[in-house]
Amino acid sequence: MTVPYAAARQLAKSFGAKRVLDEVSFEVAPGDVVGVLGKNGAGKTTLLELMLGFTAPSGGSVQLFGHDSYRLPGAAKARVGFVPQQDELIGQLTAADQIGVIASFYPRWDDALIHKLCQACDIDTRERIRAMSVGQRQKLSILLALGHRPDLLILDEPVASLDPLARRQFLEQIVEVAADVRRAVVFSSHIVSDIERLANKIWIVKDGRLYWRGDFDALKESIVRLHVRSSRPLPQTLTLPNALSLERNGVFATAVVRDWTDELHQEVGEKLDAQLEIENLALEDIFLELHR
Amino acid sequence: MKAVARLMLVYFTGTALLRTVSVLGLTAIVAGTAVLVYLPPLVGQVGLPSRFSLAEEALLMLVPVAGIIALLFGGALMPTMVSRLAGSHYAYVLPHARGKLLASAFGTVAFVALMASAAMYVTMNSKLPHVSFTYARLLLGSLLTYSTTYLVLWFVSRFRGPLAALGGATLVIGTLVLPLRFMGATVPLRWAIIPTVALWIVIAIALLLAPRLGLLRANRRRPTWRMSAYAGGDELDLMIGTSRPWLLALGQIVPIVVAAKLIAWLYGDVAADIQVKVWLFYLVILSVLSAAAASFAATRSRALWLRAPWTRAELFARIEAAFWRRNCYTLGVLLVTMAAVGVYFELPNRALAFGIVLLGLATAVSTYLGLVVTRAIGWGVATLAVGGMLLLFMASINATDPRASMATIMLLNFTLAALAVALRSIAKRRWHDIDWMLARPETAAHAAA
Repeated sequence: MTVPYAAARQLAKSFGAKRVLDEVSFEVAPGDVVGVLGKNGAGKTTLLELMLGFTAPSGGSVQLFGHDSYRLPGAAKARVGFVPQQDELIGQLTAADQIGVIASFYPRWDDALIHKLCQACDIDTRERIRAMSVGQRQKLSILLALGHRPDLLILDEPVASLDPLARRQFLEQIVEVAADVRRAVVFSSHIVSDIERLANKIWIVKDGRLYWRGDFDALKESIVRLHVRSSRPLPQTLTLPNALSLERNGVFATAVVRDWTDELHQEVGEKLDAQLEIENLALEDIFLELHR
Repeated sequence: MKAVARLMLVYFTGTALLRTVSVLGLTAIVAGTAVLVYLPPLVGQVGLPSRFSLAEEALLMLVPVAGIIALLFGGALMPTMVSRLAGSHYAYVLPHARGKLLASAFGTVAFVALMASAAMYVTMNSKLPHVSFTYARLLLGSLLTYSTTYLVLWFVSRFRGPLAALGGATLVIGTLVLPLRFMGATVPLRWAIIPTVALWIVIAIALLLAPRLGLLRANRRRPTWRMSAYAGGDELDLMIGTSRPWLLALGQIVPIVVAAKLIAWLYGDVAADIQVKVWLFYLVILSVLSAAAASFAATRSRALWLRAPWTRAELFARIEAAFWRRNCYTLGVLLVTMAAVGVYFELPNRALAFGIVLLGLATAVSTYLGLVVTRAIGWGVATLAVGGMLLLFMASINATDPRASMATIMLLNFTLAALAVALRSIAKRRWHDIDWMLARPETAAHAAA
């Protein structure tokens, strides 16, 4: 049986009286590319930082490579790459020096890869970091997380400050990482199209809970838009099972439903004397519907 | 006007801690001066009877003084807020934003100076102040003192690293020696007006012309010599900012030379023991300031957690060692200076020895106080910091005083050593459970809220 790279059970985190995360459980296995979606303040960063042991959970547990994240041993750390939301680069150094400093912490470091990526990302390694633009600093942060070829790459809003070209390069790099089935990627982003393009698993964080955790395809199958067309006016008090939202207009109704089955489809159709049509939603629509 | 008043209110009441300190300060000033004015002969003046001993009188007189200090630090948000707002987009989009910020800054300093000068006048004369030469001198002296104090606070909060300590220390000289000199009974009033006006003209120019200055800075070409690679060094030191201890140590020479000139100029005609006291007080402040950079260790160490193969406990041990390595250079320069001062003024061996010990203790207390700051500063740390600083200043006054008893000096030094040990123990415990989500300034602010 494959040991998951990361696993959490009933994870919770509070800051004072404020519960930021609650009852979060997950597993990240080799080959997973997990996209973490959520509104601002939903708890995405807290979730990722709990995974990495920056902060202690208030309840439950989280493990990386079988070790308690909060007490992560050096060998496990060397298998993790992390890109924080705000870079942690040293402004006084040149990019080359910064790379040198970070490389010195790892037993193995792929100089050739970093050299190649610096050229591809148009990073002048002689340039001082404080003279770089926000986007360039972010690109450098991403490169630094890749140099030691981590088994688990965790990225917190990595593309927020990148231009479309740099974003495309970044996505290609992640595809390359993800192509290696021994590696896993967890990344949070507000850019739903990026997650849609890359992730094979989706976590949706809503109000501090993992509202959805599973395959991307399963999510798209699970949450659908339902178009109802009845032969008679629909009742004012119309309700549909598992409906996330519902709009009624005479004989027509449109609803977004979760876990819609063939049995439900048939039952509702007969009850309302209506034709039902299912429309698959894009990830962005699903996200918006869940946060209405 | 409304915006200026609102800003001033926020400076004094922006956080729960500052709100409480401001209210306590105002209460102490009002209550302390009322006691001195309306309950005669509570405190005896020359030739007047007193119902209290000298020690009790001294304590009563300390109430308004403590109030002044509390009010001063109650408005500590002002320099940070003014500089942040002046540098933000608000300064560009809000009408007359820079002018209002300048007015609010001056208003804050003027308010503190008014309260302080009134309290000082009452403390000295046991009657309410009225427009007079003495009061005007007190007011102008206070205005200059608190202007430079807030400038020091801004400098220390705005800039980090060796240059900040250097600049802060240089400004401290101004705070320590200049206003006192300008308040002297024989000094013409214009000498209190000129530096105050000059200082505020400089502040106004900096604040109002910030966009142009910023533009100049953006267009300035970086000199090629600054493009050179770093000179090597331990990676941990680079990441937590302790990689160039010699720079900070050499940096101490500038404020020391400036202080030597100023102290000779301003205090050249007073007794040598007073000059030595000023020197030791000043060197203690330098050692505290240079060691205080340890308060950034928690935030900076975040980047080390996933990179370095150390546990939290090992990380603390390494960071503690790194800061001591760095502090030793600075301490060395300060100790040599203290020894030179002692030799020059023919200081007795006892005073010289205690002065040297005190500099070491000041560095230790300040370093561990900094290392304790692994999350937002709460009541406990704030109390320890204020208590520690008061102890240090008391010890610096006593160390070179030939009339001070050996027991008092030993007790003060022992208390400082115990405080350093206690702070180290707290820091060690905190680092064993350090939470980097709380160590980040912005998160700490949220958590505190």
